[in-house]
Amino acid sequence: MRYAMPIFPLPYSSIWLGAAMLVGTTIATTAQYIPHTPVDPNQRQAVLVNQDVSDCSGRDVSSVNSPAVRGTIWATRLFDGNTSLKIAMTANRNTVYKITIKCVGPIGDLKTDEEGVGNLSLVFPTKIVGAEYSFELAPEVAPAGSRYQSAQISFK
Amino acid sequence: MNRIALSLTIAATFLLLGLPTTSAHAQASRTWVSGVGDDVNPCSRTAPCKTFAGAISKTALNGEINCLDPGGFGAVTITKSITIDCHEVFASILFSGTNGINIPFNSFSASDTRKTVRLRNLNLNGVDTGIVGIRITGGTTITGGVVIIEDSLIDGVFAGAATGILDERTGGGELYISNTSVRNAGTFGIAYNPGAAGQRVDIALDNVRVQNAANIGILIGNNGRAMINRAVVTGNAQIGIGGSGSLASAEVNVSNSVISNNGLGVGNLAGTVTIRLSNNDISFNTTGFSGATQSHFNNRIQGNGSLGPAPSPIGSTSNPTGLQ
Repeated sequence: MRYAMPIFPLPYSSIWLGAAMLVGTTIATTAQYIPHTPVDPNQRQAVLVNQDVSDCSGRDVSSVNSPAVRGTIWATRLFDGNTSLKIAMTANRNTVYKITIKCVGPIGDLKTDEEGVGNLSLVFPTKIVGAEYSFELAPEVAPAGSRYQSAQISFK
Repeated sequence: MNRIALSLTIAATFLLLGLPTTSAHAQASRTWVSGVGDDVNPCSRTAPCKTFAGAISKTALNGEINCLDPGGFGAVTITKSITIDCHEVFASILFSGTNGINIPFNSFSASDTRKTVRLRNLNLNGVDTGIVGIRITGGTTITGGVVIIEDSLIDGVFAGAATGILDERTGGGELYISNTSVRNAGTFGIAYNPGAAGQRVDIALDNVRVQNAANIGILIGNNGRAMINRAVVTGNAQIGIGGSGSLASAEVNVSNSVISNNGLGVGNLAGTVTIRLSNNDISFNTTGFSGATQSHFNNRIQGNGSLGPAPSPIGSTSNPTGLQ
């Protein structure tokens, strides 16, 4: 014998359960001390992860800090119609990495030094990307394990 | 005769199969890195490696990596009990856009009974874009774990979580930091800031200098119990020393320390936090205190922009200083 699920009225136990879940969610979000840091509304920051492939938007790249994170990208929309890009990464030593906006095209090169550290700033026209995009950094010859994908940059 | 030949063939086959396995597991108790080394080397004293990451796979459990000469030895992820000690030698780790040293205890083997990482005499520089100098995580699959950091310098972390030393463990453990400077961090200087209540982490900071963090110099979060002695906590934009116990109580004892020129000197920030102060100089902060703090009444509190809520005496009416 089957019973139809009643919609109304809600039993008190359900209300208490919902309230408990709400409190639980609130507590979970305050588990860590979250600092109040001023953020430039025109700037986005995303990690570069040692990962061979990702989709065009970088939605499938984890933005969680982990040992796989090998760099950080800052994208800042400027008032002159350009986007300023700052890239900092620590990867293989003395290697030139091609910087590509995923599914758009290459925009420059970054060379790491003797200790594997590479820093680069450049600009590109904002109009060549949409509101969501991501980057790939890869050496000219890129065997498995040598590519880096950025998490998503989103200005939505 | 044929049977003997067959036995010899089988024995030889097993021997050949065994050889690569044996060499792959040949790890030394002591390995060496050098500024002119190479990671294809065995990391011996006469054939040193170039990086800590290259040396760690050739170092035995509970073994030690030492530095032959000055150099930059690269970011490293540590997944077993080990010592990296470069005393008397300038040993640098540059970590642009990433973490300098990762210690994910969840990646440690269950058979690694010590679960102890010792770092000594390292110079970590995030070149303005580092995320975390030394990041300690884990606790869901491997609990406990001891991290000892001595005689080190961490500077220039302004990306992502932007913290000099960040302990996010939820499975308990111990964190000991001595004779170490942490400066110029975008968020925290030294923080125990777990993602859940978890188990208690015991923390001892001795002779640490924490300067110019954009948020909090030293933060002790849920279930952290910290003894801070001989610290100089100065120039941190928002808070010098803070405790936050929103999910599990935190305790912070501060003794013989200087807390100066911060936005707020000492802050009881959230939840259940006990802060005890003894023999400290708390001066020139914009505000001295926030929230409840306790004092042995032997602190020198002067020159702050405003006092905030004054610390309460620790002892009884007949013995307000609580000294014994």
